[in-house]
Amino acid sequence: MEKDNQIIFKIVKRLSTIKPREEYTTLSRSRLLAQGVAPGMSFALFAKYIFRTGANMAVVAVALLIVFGGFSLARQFTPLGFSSLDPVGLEAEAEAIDIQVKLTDLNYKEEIQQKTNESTQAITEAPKSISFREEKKQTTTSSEVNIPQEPSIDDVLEILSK
Amino acid sequence: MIEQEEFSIIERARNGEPEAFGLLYDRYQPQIYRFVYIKVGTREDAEDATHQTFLNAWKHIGNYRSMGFPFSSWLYQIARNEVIDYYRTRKPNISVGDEEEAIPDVHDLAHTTDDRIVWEQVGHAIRTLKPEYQDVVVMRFVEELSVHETAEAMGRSEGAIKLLQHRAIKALKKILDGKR
Repeated sequence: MEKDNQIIFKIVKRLSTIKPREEYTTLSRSRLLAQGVAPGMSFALFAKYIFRTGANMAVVAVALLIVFGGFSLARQFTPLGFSSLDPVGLEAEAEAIDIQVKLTDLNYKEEIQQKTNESTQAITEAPKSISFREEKKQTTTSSEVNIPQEPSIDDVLEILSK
Repeated sequence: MIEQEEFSIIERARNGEPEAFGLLYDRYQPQIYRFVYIKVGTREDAEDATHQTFLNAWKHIGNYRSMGFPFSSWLYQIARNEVIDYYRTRKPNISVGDEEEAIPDVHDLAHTTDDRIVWEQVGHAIRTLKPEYQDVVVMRFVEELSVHETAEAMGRSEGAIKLLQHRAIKALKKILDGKR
């Protein structure tokens, strides 16, 4: 069995003498390589070209210019947008906010004081009705004083002093 | 070709150097041609299929990654697919029983009448095998690829290749014994 297999191997091996025609090989090879760059590689080669010739440096430079130029323009046209980049400006803003807070607080306090005054006035005016009664009472009392039955010397002196 | 040297050439070809791919073509074209020829049976179809195989390889060489996967195995994969397409889309130039057209030109089989007889009998016997048996017979016994290379080319495990090889030889022997 093994011997039979060896014979078959030997016979099959003789097929290795099959060779392509030289004319075909030359033509096929030249047609393949005449395509130059591998058909599916054009983009990759383009990318490598850009990298190798240094053109990418120009691209990077332009990109940096756009980025920094964009920040500069943004600072000019957007006052609030980039104020955080300026520490002095930030501090001034903070102080301004603080002042505004104080002013606001002051105004608030003034308002409160005014309202308090109004309330106090109201409260002050309110007891007049009570003092009117007292005044009436006082008037009633004073009328009683002005009619002495038998004036004393003190009473006479008092009247004269008035 | 030394392995390291071939690796370098493949990398140059992957980078788009036609000259590098030309070296690979010179190295592998004869065996790919033989493989295809034994399977399709005529020179004209074998030349077309071989050219298309290398055209596809050149087009997609960027997709090839070594990682223990031999370049020859990758080429055989492409060639196998090309033969499948050949049977699927084209009318074969010969029928199975037409022996005369199957006999290769004297340029293809080098030397002697014995060789022509071998081709007549063995070549036909191989073409009557199942496609997987054909592949393993040609790769293992004609081209003497290793089990690993054959397994990679066929997308099978090494154990499966050994089993296929055993069954292919058995089937081939049965056909050849039937002819005697």
